[in-house]
Parts: sequence; structure tokens; C-alpha cells
Amino acid sequence: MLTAMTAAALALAALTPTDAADTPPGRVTIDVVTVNGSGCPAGTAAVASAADNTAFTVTYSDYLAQTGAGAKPTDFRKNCQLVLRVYYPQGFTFGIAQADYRGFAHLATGARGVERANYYFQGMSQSTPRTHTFTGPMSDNWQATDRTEVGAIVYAPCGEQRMLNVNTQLRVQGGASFMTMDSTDASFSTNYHFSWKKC
Amino acid sequence: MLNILAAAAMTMSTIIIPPGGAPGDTPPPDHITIDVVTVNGSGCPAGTAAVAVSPDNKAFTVTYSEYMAQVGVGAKPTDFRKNCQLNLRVNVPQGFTYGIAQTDYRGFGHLERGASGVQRASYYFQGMSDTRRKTHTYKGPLSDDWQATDKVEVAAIVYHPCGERRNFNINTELRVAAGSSDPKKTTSFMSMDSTDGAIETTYRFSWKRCP
Repeated sequence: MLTAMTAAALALAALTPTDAADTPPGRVTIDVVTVNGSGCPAGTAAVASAADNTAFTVTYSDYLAQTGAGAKPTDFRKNCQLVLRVYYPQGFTFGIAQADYRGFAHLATGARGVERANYYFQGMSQSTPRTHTFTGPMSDNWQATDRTEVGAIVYAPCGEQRMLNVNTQLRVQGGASFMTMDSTDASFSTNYHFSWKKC
Repeated sequence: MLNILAAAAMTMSTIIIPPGGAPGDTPPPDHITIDVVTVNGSGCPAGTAAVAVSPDNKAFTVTYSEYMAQVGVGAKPTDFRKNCQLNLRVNVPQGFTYGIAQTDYRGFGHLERGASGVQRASYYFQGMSDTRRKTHTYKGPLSDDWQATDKVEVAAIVYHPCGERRNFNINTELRVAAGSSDPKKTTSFMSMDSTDGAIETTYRFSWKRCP
């Protein structure tokens, strides 16, 4: 497909080939299609998907927001956007999507670090941001978890399919501080699923 | 032969029909579909943009790793404006098609008091001088995420029985002006994280040749 060609030409950080003809199983599965952003430029992120495609881990080598000595004025905010292809089985599916963010923060007294993830579907203006704030003094690992109920009704196996975007960002306010993200983990657990057949 | 009415105010009588191109290898389906052909510009040089097209080819997401315009401390004099141009192949079915193209721009802005930032997109068809521009302006003080949405009407008449393919350009840009803020002491910037596009086919007539 042209999609794949374009992607290759643009030197994606990560690309998982997908086959539209695949029949989705009786649960929600995900593929990580692209990983890109100021905090994860090409070659700095690694993706590991679970064998059953219900979970994945992205690790970063260069995802760091900072202020103070050695930092450029624009370094206080970095982002990394994941584009996910979500396969819903035909029928009604209900499950839980969970994302865990882990990293390290060194925040001076009075400084603040923010981890925010913005969730939205490709082509739709509506965005759902989730924010976690850490305050200095702090020099330790941090972890944040977002959990969302996912209910999907897919009437036809060839219905509209939109990629799920997860745009994460780190922001640091205050002097001589930094915050890194080491990893992003996400999993989809399918709690129940009804399917139906054509009359 | 394809024509796009970028301007909502345009009427049927103003349609200009460009010369026909070679038919594609496969006839397009019943609705408008898109492929991202190239992504390039000062804000998205090679290796810094990633593209994800939806499986039904009706939507796409482009993400950027260094699309940022800035002024002030640490900025070069030419950094106040950056652009990224998307070239899309639009597959239009035979007949008359009407739809809405929606683009969502998302990013982060840090503007000092007195500074301002602009996100602008120009929409035009390859080889046609008719350009539609949409501009969104932000004023400092601001240090937060921003989001802008453009909706452009798309109308096409294609006489070729197998439909046609035309390349559509979206030239996005970010600009930052220091205004009354002090660029010797502060830095103002606008960055773009992602551009999302989707084309929704609203209605369509097709026709057949008389016997």
C-alpha cells in the first residue's frame, strides 16, 4: 500500500505492518503504527508488543524536558505522540484501556513537573486530556496511570476505522529542574464481548 | 476532470475544469479517499514527520518532532516562521461528489505577554492558482496546548468513468511575533505536534452515458 511506502520514505521511528484483511479476534487488539514527537525523534523510541497484541511498551532514550543551566528556552516542554491502530471485533465490546507512564523527575523547590496525555481519534476534534502534576523538591522516579472504559459497537467488519492518538507531553516549570519519561505501557483488557450475525 | 471548490461562496458557474489526467490503475470507490504522498517543509525536514493513514483511507495523522517557530533568546532571525506542506492524493469517484474536508491542528504555544502566534493553512489543488487560506491567531500571555480546526467544502465533478486522482496541497505554517514583548530577555514559540485530516463524503450523484 501507498501508506507503507510513504511511511518508509519518511523514515518512521516505528512502523508495524498491518493487514486490513485480518479478521479481528473476539477481543480488542492494538498495533503501534507511529511514534514521533520532540521527545521521541526518529531512532530514539523502541516498541515492544505483547504476543497477543493486547499490550505494548514504548521505551525512550531521549524524552526529557528541562529548565535551568544547559537548557534551551524551548526545552521545558517535550512531547511524544503514539498513533495506534485498534482492532475491535464485530459486535459490542466492553473493556478497560490502561496506560502507565514511568520516568524520573528532579525538581527544585518551588518547581513543578507535569505529565499530560491527550487522547483522541484521528479526524475528530474532540480531545480528552489527563494530567498528572508533581511538585518539587523531588528527585525520584515517578509513575502515572490513566484508565479509561472503552465501549465500542461495531456493526460491520468493514465499518469506519480511525486510529487512536495518544499525545504525551512533559512540562517543567521553575529553575534547574528536569523530568524524563522512560516508558509508556498500554494494555486493553476485554471484559465482555457480544457478537452477532447477519439476519 | 476534477474541480474543487475551495471557497464556500463559489457557485457551479464558476467551476473551472482542469485538463484530464490519466486514469488510475484501480477505479476509486464510491467516496473520496486520500493518500499522503509527501510531507516536507522547513518545519518538517526528512526524518522528522511520521504519517498514519486510516485503513479506509478517509483520514490521516501526521506527527512532527521539530515543527517549531520561535523568537527571542536562542532563536535565529529566520526561526519566526516554519512551514510544513502536505501533498495528498485525492481519489474522486466518477460523477458529482460533495464533501467536507476537516483538518485538526494540535500543538503547544508559549507566548510572552505582548507576543503573538499564528497558525495558518493554505489549501489548493496542484496546478490551480485558486487558494483558500485559514488563519488562527493566538496572543500572549499563553503557555498551554492549542488546537485549531478548519473545515473546507470540497465539490468535484469527474466525467471519467473510472474516476480521477488529483493532488491536493495543504501548506501549514507557524509564525511567532515578539510584538511588545522583549526578545532580548524572553523566548516565545509555537510548536505543532500533529495534523489530522479527514474527508467525509456528504452526497454523490453518478451518471451513465446515453445509449
